[in-house]
Amino acid sequence: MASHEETDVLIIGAGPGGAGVALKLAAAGMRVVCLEQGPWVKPPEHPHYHDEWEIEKQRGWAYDPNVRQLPEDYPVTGVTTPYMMNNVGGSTVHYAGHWPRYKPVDFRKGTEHGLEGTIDWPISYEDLAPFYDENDAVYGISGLIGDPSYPPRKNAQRDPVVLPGKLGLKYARASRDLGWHWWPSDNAVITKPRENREADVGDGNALSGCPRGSLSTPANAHWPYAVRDGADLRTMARVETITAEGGKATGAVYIDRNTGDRHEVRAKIVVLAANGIGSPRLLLQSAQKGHENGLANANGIVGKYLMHHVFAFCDSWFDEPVEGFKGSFGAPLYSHEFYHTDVSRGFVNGFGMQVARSFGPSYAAMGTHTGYTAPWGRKHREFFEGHFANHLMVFMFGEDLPVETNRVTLDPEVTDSDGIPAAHVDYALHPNDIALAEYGIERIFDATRAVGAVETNDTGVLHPPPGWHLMGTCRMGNSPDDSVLNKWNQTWDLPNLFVVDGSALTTGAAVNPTSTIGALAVRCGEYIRRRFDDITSQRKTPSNADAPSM
Amino acid sequence: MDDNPGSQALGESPAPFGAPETTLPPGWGGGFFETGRPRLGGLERPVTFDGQQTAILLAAADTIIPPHPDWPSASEVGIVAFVGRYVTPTGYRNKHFPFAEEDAFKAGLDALGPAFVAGDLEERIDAIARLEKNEDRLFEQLRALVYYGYYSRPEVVLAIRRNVPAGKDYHGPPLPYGYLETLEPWDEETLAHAGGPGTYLETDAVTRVDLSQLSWTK
Repeated sequence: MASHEETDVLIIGAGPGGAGVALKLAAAGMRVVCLEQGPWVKPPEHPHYHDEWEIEKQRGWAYDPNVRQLPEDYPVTGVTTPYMMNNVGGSTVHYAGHWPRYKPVDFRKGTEHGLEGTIDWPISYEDLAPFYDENDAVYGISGLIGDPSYPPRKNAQRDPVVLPGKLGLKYARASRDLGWHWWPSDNAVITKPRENREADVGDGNALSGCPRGSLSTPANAHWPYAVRDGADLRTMARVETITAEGGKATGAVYIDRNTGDRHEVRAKIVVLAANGIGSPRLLLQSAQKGHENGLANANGIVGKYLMHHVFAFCDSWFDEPVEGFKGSFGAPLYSHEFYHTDVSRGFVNGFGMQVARSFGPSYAAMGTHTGYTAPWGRKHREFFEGHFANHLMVFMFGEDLPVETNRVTLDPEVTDSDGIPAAHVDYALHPNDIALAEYGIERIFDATRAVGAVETNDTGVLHPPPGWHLMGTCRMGNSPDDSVLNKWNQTWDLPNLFVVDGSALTTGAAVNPTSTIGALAVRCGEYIRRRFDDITSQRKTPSNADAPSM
Repeated sequence: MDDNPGSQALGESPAPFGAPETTLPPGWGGGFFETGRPRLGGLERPVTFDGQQTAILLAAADTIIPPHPDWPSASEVGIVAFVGRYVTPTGYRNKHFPFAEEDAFKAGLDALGPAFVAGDLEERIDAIARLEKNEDRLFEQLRALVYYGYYSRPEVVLAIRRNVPAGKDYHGPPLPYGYLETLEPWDEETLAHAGGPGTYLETDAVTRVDLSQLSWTK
């Protein structure tokens, strides 16, 4: 490593955080290098055209990298099932694409209750709203404007809403009969074709990605255009250390996974976007002289306050067809009837009911989402005929409290294939999370029984939760006493080091986080574009009050 | 376990599904996550079974999913070839679902023996039930391979379309066709009720709630 390269902005990770910043800065003509430890996932690598598409969900398309064990993955030890992917597009390459926003109250949970590590965000819904709209337009979002449980969003662009099918119509009817809120979901699924992307055909297997490009991910919505604008996206480039000198980040050293060679890229600004587990892992791994506890970790907060959301899977079966194998993911509709805190229920925060699709006959035989495995032997066929595609699953999907001891650290023994320490996760549910989830399970079955469910089964409150959402571990906050980042995603310790991914989320709300991560990335990219000279001349990270405005 | 993992050569022989012949233990700069991806559809060159093992697999399939006049029998849909594609060959790391390693898997089949094939349904049910009761890994492997294998076969998909009202439109692999043409749209009457009593709190309206009512603190 005798020499190094130089660039304006170095981005680590090609998922929603990194892609959002890269697209913005490349379009502005800035020199951008992005290091991504995984490859491009190519259309033939998806299982959708194969008879064996269902068993493949347990193998190369398993959600958990500890199960999937692809070469670009790294081990995550501890109490966790981290459903991440490591490739261009990040974990969106296997996400449902359900695309809700935070509500205004979600930015003020410190004011509302302040329990455990809960603090207010340093920004408001109103600060982020225009960036939600801008981000949505880049991804391509289908849905219906007008949900009264959100502020108006008159500038949001939407493709026509995805079709509900029998499943969606049934839960809509249940919600209506109970007088509950419900609304057709926004989804990161295009229903009209775009350049290089086909419109969705309701194939229902987005949790293994989408080879047609109908699922909106940075791999199809951002990177082709960022690269066209000059962004240097390097795949198979695994960052080993983020480097720093004199109170500033200077770049990163990465391993070219094709050759094993190490390279150094120096940059005026470094943007870390390696997800809520990967980013704290890299900061801790980058401990060096002057940063003995890891980079950006003088206050010891890096890795703490991990949130996943609290989950339970609730299956209901009907004596009539529901046809859950049909239709677009993410969700046909959601109910936010129980979203807001109502302390008379005995807990703070709330939950969403997110109506999900099912998969195929093997999924029905193997026990759907709740381990209700079909009996083998004489009773098998009767069970199968009564259960396959008569099934409706609802996620009980609640806001978990940010707890200091729920955290990401480095595993002292296990490493990835390049010798970099694995991430280790400690996560325990808080009693408030459990009370919330138990209440939520009952309400979901109130709804399905109201429309004729003949059988129900649930997982109980899942521990560990399915780790689709990796949040809070480098959170934005109000001062170096309570957070890792200021309100512009700058680390408190190094003004030219930004973190923009799920780890930046101060609280988790009770919604899927990707639309918010994307909006933050657009906002952060815009800030870097406009304030590049201010940022690069800062010797210390400014307070939220003193930071230059957009 | 080799004390000097650096002396081992990775990738010298082809890895059939991401499981190199030699490997490093976790914590030694490798051990898992090392190379290769599991091939879609399983092994290009499946594990093969001898005559008795084949007969046992077929009998086990027909025990787990018994024959029925309206359905193709589990023993008649190529289940042995499917199993062979998803068993980990001898000498390779057993790192992907259903985690069935060739030697152990075959030893389990051999232990069921010719009596299993010769027995009537009751005897075969008893034998499988014993595996289940003893938490023998072979039980979960067989059940998973038979369920995933059987329901992946095109002739079974056709039977689902014929026999299961809720599955009349199911066409197997999600693509290329998708289901757009048979999905019901939102209708105006249903949408008229969308939103219900939904409201939101304005940013400035957020105030402290009464924390004395929390149930879990008591």
